[in-house]
Amino acid sequence: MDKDQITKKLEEVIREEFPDLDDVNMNASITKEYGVNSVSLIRLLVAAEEKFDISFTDFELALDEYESFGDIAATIAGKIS
Amino acid sequence: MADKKRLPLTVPLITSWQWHATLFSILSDDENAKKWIYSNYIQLRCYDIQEIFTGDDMLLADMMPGSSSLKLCPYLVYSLLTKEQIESYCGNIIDFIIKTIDLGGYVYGVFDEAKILCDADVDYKFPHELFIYGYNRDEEYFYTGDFTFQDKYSHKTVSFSDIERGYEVISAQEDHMFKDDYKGRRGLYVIIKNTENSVYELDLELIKTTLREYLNSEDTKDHFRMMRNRFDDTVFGIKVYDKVLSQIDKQIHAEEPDFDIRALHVMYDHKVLMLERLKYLMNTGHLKYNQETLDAYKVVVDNVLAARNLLIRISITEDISVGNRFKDHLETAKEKEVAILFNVLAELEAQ
Repeated sequence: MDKDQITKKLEEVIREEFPDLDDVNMNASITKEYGVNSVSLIRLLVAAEEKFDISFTDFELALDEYESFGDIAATIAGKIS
Repeated sequence: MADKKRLPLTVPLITSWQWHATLFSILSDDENAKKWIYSNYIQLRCYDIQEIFTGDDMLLADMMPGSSSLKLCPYLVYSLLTKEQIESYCGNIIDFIIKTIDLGGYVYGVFDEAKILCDADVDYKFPHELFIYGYNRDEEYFYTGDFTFQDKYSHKTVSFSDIERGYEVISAQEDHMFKDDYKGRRGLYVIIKNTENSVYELDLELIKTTLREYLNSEDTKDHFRMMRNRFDDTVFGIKVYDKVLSQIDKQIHAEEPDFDIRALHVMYDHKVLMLERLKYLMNTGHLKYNQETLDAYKVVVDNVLAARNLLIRISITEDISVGNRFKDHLETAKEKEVAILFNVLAELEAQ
């Protein structure tokens, strides 16, 4: 799966978890732009685990690991490469 | 009176309880206040209580001086005003809050947040502490801070009418802040920043004593009896790790599992603050600069955060089979923290 495919698939998960979002900017700050908090991030990561058939370690569930959705896509890419 | 005003706020370093989020929203960046902050918040304690709203059992953990921090901190002027005083001085709550903010005072107290959060009238109450730091008279709203709005500490504007309704419906019995302070009546607190002069120096003796008490899990409730003396089942210091671990085990294996992260969040904030304290002591020459110590303590912070996030994960997936990882995270954190802080204590005592 290449980077674009991962981004597209992750965007689907983001839209499922945050149905009120109009646009998904992969480079915007997830906390400032989208109000993501620890709980909503972990919901998203758990959903991504299922979608990509991967698992995040407990340390990778920390909000300060990710500035943007793009950072989450990069971590996923590292797990399925 | 101005049309609008917002008192200065900083990003709070810790937020686990509303009293900490409030104090740190006002003082986080202040160099004078850091002397008091880093001299305190070392001892941890926890005890079982009944949840105010539901009556359910909960483990309440906190860093000392706990909810008394707002009134004990010398870098804040903290005044209590009864409902009768407020009405006599200003006629109504809205004018009182506006005048207080005009004088540089933040307002803090219990409001029915069901009235604030729900558009329609509801037949239940949700009394909770609200922090008010500004107003806009044209738009008729206040600037407030709380956990209730977004499942994390955040800021929101609340209309004058919702504040008024949220205040009026809370009785003295439901005002748990006044109740916990043994006041038995209804009112609000006014908090003024008092940081212009250095009135409290970093207290190395207090840091050493409380570090020792923390590491040895000494029962230090007698230090705090002047604040509150109703609890006899309190666990102190490093033993809080064991108590929290056994509480989580009980919670997740219950017939109807409970996923209360608050005690773990307090522990996490305690480690965040301890790491900042170590940096501060190194930067001010009270400890030798040692990056290895800071890196090692960061592992403590990360493990406690991993445990907290694991509990959030389990609350989402309800998969309790991964519960054994709590033990790994918390035991790693405990072992490393004890080793690091004994070394820190030895270095401070050698001076």
